[in-house]
Amino acid sequence: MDKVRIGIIGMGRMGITHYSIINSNPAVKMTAIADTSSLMLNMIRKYLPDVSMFEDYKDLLNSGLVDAVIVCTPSVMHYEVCKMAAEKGICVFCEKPFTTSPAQARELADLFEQKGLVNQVGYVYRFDVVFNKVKEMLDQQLIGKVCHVNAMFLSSTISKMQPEKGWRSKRENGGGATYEMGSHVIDLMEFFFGKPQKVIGTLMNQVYSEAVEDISEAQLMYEGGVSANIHVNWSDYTYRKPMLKIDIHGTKGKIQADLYGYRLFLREENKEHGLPEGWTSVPMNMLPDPCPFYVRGTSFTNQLYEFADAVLAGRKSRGCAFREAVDTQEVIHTIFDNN
Amino acid sequence: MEKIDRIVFGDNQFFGINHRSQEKAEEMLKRFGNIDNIFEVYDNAFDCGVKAVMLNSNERAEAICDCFRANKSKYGELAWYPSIPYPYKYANMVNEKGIFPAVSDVLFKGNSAGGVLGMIGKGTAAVFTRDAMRMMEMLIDVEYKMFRGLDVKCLFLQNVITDLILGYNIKEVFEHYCEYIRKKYKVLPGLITLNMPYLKGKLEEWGIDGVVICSSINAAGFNMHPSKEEYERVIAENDPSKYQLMAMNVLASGSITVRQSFDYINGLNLQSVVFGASSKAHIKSTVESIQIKD
Repeated sequence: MDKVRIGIIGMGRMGITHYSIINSNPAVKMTAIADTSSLMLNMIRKYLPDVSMFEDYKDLLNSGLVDAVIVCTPSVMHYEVCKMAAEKGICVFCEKPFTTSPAQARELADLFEQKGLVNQVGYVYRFDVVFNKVKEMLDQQLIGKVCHVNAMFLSSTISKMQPEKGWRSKRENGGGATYEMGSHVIDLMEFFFGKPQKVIGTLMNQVYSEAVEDISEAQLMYEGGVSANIHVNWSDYTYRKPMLKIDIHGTKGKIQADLYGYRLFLREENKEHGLPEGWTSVPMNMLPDPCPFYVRGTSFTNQLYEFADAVLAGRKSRGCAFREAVDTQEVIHTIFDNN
Repeated sequence: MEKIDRIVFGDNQFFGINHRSQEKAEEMLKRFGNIDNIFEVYDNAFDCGVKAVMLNSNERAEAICDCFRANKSKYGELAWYPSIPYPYKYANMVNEKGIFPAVSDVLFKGNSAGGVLGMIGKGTAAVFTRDAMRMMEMLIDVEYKMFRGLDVKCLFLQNVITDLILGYNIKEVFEHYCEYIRKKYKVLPGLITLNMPYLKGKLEEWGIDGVVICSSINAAGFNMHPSKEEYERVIAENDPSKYQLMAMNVLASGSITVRQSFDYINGLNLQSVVFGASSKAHIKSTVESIQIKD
């Protein structure tokens, strides 16, 4: 194929953003959109004459118009949409959280692997410039053997009492702080350290929401004796913008990273990498972060371009594979089951 | 096309926007929570020779505009470069309610002043289903109201919106936006973008000119997509009678010195620089450093 034909299922906020990003890619031809809102389809139909519009995603998947789809429906629908896509031989980029049960996640991972279809979940921080640098430093073992990690994700997403409206206010639909934010942190830990061996010390608490949790915590144990604390709170009204912070403590040093940059502490000078003893601070705007088309951050663009590229080249994506997202799903459900 | 001001004073410092440090951003938010402190900075900027300001239509801009209107004799000569909309407002509302209810709220709630009855006359449902362009006009009108009575030279669309729409590759939206701004408000249409070469290429392809394009341009290459080299090529080839180019983020959020920054900026074919600063010394040194050719 000389161009990947892509469709989007679900034109909510993520679908709208993803369309803009991936449509800028010269190797992509956008061919189809599915959304249950006829209001939405009618509004855009006139301006996108070459794109077919469907009110039912099944018609899109049956149309023969797409090689790949970007799935941005409510999370509770991901399973049925992805499953049908696999049956039709269509590659999938699926928004997070991947599914609403570990069994479904596992079934989809098996299915896509059997069929050899490109699969990726929108755990976008794997494409963040700072956290990529952290991964690189961990792989270089700059801080020696990693002992402990403290990871926090804080935001003011829910800062007043919530009327129970919309799919995000129900856990069975994929709502709550653990799905919304915890999943990102758990996936970053998967990116750094692989699958956790044990999930202990979990808790969930509410501040404003009635049906879902606003605060969520877990302690994770990884191979090689790495322990981690994960804390998320989407009702922390002191944060105007979401703040994802990770401290990694190793035998030879420490890494402190957030979305604004990182600080590295080394107990001894590292001549091989030209790094001094003590602290080295690097703000994110000093890190090279090339991006072909910016809409909502370099990581959003780079994750979708990677997906399109993988489909075009018929190779595995560097993003979060369905198989890895199964692990994250299991951690999330252990937190739910324990509380 | 009317010439834009060489130096424009921006507003990021007032609203806690700092790409490098959240702590610094919070400190600024606190200081400028008091509007007197904002006007102290403006007065310093005007003392240093600044004659133009850029202001985003965020929740605090109304009070700032009121203050400028109330002191028209003092600030009468000022040229305005507002930018719309305030993206966070829409992002939060869309998250909470969904897109159409959010747009509907913006257009029809809390807007009893300033001719909203006339807007309702244009019809809600019809707007959504039949005429996205009318919806865009109404959203512009709502945002623009805040700047009434000020001497606006150019109205900018924020990069979050410009770049989102740009990705859809729809000529009519840009054509209609530019025409509407020119005809209804008699000001220059402006577009803020983080993809300047791509945007300019599209505008040329569509035959849309007479536009002011504002984008990050700095020696560090920060927020210049797809690359600094591509920006340099496009800037060198630009015809300012068709597109006037304004540089923002010239200090790359503090990752380079003022000297490094302007050694670079002054050598480029640019028509304007927008910058923000909060100390008088910093404002003065920046104004003196801007030596782009007129």
